[in-house]
Amino acid sequence: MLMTTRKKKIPFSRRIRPYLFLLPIYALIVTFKYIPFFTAIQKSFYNWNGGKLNQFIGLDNYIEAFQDKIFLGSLLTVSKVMIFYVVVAITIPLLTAELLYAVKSTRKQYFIRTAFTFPMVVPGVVIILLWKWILGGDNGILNNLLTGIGYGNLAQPWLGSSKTALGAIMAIGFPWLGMSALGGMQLLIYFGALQAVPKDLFEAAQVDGVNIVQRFFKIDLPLLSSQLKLMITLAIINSLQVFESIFILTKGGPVTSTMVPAVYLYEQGFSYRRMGYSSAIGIILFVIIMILTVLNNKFLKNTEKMD
Amino acid sequence: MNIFAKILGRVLLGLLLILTLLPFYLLVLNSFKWQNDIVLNPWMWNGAEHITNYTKALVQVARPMVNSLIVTAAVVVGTILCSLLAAYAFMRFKFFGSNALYFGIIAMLMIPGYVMLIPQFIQINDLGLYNTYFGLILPPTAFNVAMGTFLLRTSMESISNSLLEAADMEGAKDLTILGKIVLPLSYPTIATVMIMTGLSSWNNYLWPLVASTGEKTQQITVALTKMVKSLAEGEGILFAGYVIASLPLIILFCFSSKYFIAGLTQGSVKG
Repeated sequence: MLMTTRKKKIPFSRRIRPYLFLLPIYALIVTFKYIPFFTAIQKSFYNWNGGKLNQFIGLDNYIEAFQDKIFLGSLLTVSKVMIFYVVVAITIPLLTAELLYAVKSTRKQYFIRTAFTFPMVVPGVVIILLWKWILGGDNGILNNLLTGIGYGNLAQPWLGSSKTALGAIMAIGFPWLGMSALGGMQLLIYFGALQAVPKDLFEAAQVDGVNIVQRFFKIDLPLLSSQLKLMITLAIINSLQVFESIFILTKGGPVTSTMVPAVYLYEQGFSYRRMGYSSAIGIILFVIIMILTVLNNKFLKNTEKMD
Repeated sequence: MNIFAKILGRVLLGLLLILTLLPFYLLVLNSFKWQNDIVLNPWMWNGAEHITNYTKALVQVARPMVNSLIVTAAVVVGTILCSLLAAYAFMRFKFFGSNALYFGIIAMLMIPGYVMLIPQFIQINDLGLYNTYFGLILPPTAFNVAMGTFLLRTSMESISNSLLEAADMEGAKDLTILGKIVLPLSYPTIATVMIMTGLSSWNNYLWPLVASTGEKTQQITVALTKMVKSLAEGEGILFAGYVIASLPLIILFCFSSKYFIAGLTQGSVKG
């Protein structure tokens, strides 16, 4: 009631005040997000080099993309990366969180968690360059190790052969707990969720004689299901956009064995100045991510209702 | 059986921790060596430490580090300012279109950066911002404000209404309320947003790659990929450069790991 009587008296200066507070943020996102986004949609229908060449060609870019063997191949490659990262996201960090939770002393727990968190603060580019050395052909650490333990015949330039390059890139960060997008963050999320579970639940289970394996499948997994689903969604979204590691290490090669959509988009846009085509690839990527996210959310909601 | 499982668990956890940290041990260790020693035995300390690796690396990375520091500081300040004002508006006022305007900010989280990469590049060129600090600062800030607004608004909801109304009665101006009441109560969230934004800005590689060239505004991530080794020191110099580039955030991490963990978990959720 107070609100309604007040509302009539609100002077103009007060009514526009919230909009003034929103002015900086909207100036920023409209200029640097919304305009580029709609430009990308528009230019995906153009033969455009960013300058004078600017010609409407309808759906030609999209038609070309779906006939472009390299682009289709990049979708296949990124699917492999996606499946791999999804599997990683729900296994190793979960196991590590359980092992960490089993440590009784809180101080030790805190110390170990901090130690796992530390590498996540290191710039991703440093980790990638570090693994370039580990996986290198001549003086690579991995080859040095293989030779040292008597498997020198397995030593090879891991990033330099189309057979091993993709596997080598996916191996970056092994055991994948030191990179925030790739397992480190999942570890923190799972561990946080386990800590939030009331202690008596686990104690009651122990009294009832439930063993560790049973407890994991009957109690922990159901309790962590919403975190697991969120981490799957994020792994899908992040892996579809994988760029840095591949761009820095192989640029999509050898041949096109590690080509992924984001690197192809960059190459078409900046190396070949085919910016309309590049924009179309971006829009396709965006639509794929949207569809997968919506499917995931639906799946997520449905199962929650069942609970 | 139980004791066996316990020991196995500890061993496994220790192994995972060692494997996670091993590359960083090797990085620091070999950053003090010359090429010959790195090739001969990269695993162990060999006594010869070449601190000169660091002075030589510093020559290559000092300027980009300063550039990155300027850009990161500006992105953090800009993100906090815009997000704080926006979050305050959504918390304090009931106004026409508030839901739509909120959605308009949050919806940006769903669009992957690559989609607008090309138009953003052309735009920066057209505005004359290519290879300038502003060109490196503004688009990433526009990216970070969505998560900032979301987190700050969520945390501001818990501020008691009677406190704000009391301030209203006293005739306090909105900016005073924001600065004197809301801001101090939001410090933990602001710290989280700062760290999240700082991490993503310092580590940003793609946008600096696209929006700058040459030394003038070169960012540290791009500079690292272009470092040159010399004959004797070889990769030792590169490793020293990698260590130097990681130091600012690691030092910050040592002082505020709590906020880092919050920043890492919430920041990554932005997808």
